[in-house]
Amino acid sequence: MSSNNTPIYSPQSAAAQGLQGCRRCFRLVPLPLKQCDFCGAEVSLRKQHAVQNTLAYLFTAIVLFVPANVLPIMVTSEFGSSKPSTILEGVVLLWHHGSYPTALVIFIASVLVPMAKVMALLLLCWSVVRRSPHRVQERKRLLALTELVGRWSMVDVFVVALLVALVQLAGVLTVAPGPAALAFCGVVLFTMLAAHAFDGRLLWDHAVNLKGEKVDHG
Amino acid sequence: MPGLTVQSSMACPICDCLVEMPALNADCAIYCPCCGDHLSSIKAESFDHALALALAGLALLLCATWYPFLGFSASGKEANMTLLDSATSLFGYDQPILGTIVFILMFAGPLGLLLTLITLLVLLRRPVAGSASHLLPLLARAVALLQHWNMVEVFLIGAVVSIAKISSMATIQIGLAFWCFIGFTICTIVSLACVDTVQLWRLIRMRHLAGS
Ligand SMILES: [Zn+2]
Repeated sequence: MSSNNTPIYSPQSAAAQGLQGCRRCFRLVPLPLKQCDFCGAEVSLRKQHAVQNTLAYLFTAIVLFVPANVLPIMVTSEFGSSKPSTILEGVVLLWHHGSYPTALVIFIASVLVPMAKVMALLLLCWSVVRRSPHRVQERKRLLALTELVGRWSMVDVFVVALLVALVQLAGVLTVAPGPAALAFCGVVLFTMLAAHAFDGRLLWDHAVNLKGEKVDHG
Repeated sequence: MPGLTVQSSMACPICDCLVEMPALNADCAIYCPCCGDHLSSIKAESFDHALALALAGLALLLCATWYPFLGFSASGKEANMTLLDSATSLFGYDQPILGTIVFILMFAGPLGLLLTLITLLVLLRRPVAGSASHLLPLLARAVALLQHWNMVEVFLIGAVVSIAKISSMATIQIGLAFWCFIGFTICTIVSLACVDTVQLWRLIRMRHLAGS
């Protein structure tokens, strides 16, 4: 562990001037204040325990990811026989029926995006803990992309909700929600909370070389 | 609020760079000189456009909840659903938590978002009295929160995927509410895109200083 834990702020940053940018109303609040003097939001130079909170939400999401994929997300009953299916089974079934675009949408939104999002946030947390000064622009884009695509994983939960409401022909064809639906909903919400708990400004601290010049500012 | 001054600079929310902001009514976009991110755009009448679109979106959302959303028929039997059925039928299957989350994400949240946005934009149209000016930051805060969890477009894609998923098994009737929901989604997204958060808070501060 390094001898000093005080972060190095870039000379252009508000933090270097002892100013805290309010995350809610964009007001600059001078340092001793803990609350924004206009909107009352909590202010700080960087979000408190950003990495720890992000990791805690991520860990919850990873734990929920197991039941979300192992348990059935919905149960289809056709003429009396019920058939539970997991997320991946649903994708495979759609692929066999020839609905390739739908299968791809579900696969990307429900499998690829949550996994990529968790890995991206882990990578960002690690780079902050390691105080990496490299590839700031790339890491900034990764964080923005993570925040942008996160909500789209909810598609599968909405599909289940819609099918449960729509496909209700008693004795012929019915669809019931499976326990994985709630677990998967939890995965999406907790990865969104994780991305929100992270502080992107942390990526830019330490991006300073010994001469005090920014190194990786594109 | 005593001692509150007008500030001409802000910190970039992405990289914390201190940026000097130009005066209002300048009809331009401002980018952060450090990270290059878009900070704010000033466009004439954009709040009026946002208000008109939000009102249209609200009307369309009410239509979307009233009329049948999707119909479904197989083996001579038929079933219809409304928009809200997608949340309420989950309660029938002993999934109250999931039902509540879906209800909030696809109906209560967007409805609250449009109502708070409309109230805020109407109040901002002209200088307000002291008591009402305290309401403005609260409304803007609610809008930001509801906007962060807004998933109307995701729900719309979910509906399209659902139709694609079962169209091979049965005949699907697309109801009037479905088209209303598409209109509502477009209105909501474009309306929110018209509201620049930095300029919104600048205006709220100006109204606040004038009101107190
Ligand atoms: Zn504030």
